Amino acid sequence: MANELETDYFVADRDIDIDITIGEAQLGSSLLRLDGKQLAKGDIQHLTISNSTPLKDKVLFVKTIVSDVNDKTNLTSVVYTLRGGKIDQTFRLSVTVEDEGDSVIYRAWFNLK
Amino acid sequence: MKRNLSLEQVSGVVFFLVFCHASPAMAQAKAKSEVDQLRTPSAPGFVLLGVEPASVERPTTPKTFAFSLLSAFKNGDTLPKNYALEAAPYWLFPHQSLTYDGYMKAGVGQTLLQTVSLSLVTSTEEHPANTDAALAAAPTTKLAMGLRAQLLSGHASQALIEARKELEAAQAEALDVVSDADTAPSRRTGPPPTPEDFPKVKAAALKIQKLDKERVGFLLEGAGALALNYAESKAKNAELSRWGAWATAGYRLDKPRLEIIGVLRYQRDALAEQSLLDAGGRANFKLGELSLGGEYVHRWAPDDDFYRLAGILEYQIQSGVYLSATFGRNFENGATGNLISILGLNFGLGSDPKL
Repeated sequence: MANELETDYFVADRDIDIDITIGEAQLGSSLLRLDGKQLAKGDIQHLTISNSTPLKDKVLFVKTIVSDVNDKTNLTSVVYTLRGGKIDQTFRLSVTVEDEGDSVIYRAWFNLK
Repeated sequence: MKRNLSLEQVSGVVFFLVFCHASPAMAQAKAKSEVDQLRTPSAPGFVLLGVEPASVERPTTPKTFAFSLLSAFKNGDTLPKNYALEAAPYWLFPHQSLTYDGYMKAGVGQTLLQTVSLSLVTSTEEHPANTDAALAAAPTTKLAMGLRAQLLSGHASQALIEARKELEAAQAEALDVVSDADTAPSRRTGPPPTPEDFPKVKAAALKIQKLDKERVGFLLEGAGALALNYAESKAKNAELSRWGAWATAGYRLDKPRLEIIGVLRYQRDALAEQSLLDAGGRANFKLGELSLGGEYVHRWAPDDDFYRLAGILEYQIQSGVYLSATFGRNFENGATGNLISILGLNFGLGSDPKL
């Protein structure tokens, strides 16, 4: 599905940062869980996930709701940027909603390896 | 507690008034529409040609835009009949790094990109049966192209800021809902998750869409259009028939809800070699469901100068339904007189640009 992503992210022995960008001039909010424990909720910018307890073999789950508040387009998109691992990576998801005002729930599972 | 008039009560009154004053009301319907149009048109191409297409193609991707044009103009040098297209080029492409804040706080250049829209319309005139047979078989097609954009589009009103907070709260609630879809695909064992629905979020999102059209602060917009005649509907017979330009500047206050707009519009009839220049202004004050306004337009025409002065009162009965009264003096000095006196019930079937 265009609104879901499950992928591996290779961590190094340090903290990782995550940025979530809601594009197309839409509005969204996100929820982050690490192995089921909620880390943050809301507008996520430069969130640091500490490596004080090793991140390896954990699952970072990100759930983002994006609502169509822009009457010029029904396209929604979310960009997840992870930094601090073996390499920085960017993941893009995009869905066009059917009706004005509709929302999309994006879900991403990052298997931290 | 606020009480609005019921739709049934008002409809009964308006029905009576309209049918007691049918003849002057019909003569003045054109004046009413002109009074309402003291702003840059959303589709200047349509306005210049004086058409209201029954069906307008609004492509949302480059592919559908190209497909629409290619399908319409596929017959070589013969123009399509009654084709209408409206498109916002910027929004045909994805903008994954454009955040809502970036969109709302755009500078002049970015605002121009975000708001530019194109309109294209054709209208084919079938010749009456009593003209030359060859002419009757070869109708004239008119084509108009228009461009509209904003340079300044104001900023969020307090109502929009509040609506955004409502949306954020509704979205936060939606995120807390635990769903089967929260299980990673590789770990799912049951049937695919069912789509989720969040009515509170949708209501808040639609409210924001509506309030985005009611920004406050400085507003500046321009539009231009030109119309061509094609005899026998052949591309090689193109002839410029008219062109026009509009410029609108305004300022909108949040509290009190006051709007002041100035408009300049120029139309040139290239075939008759005549020009019209209108310059005018409108002030509008809103108090709850009641809206009071006044409008003055001065027209420089080939024969003489004219002016129009009108007062407008509008009462919102319910969402999208307005009772309006317009009184004043119109441009014409002909047999029907120049008095504007209209009472009407308006049903809003679409969104009109506020500027």
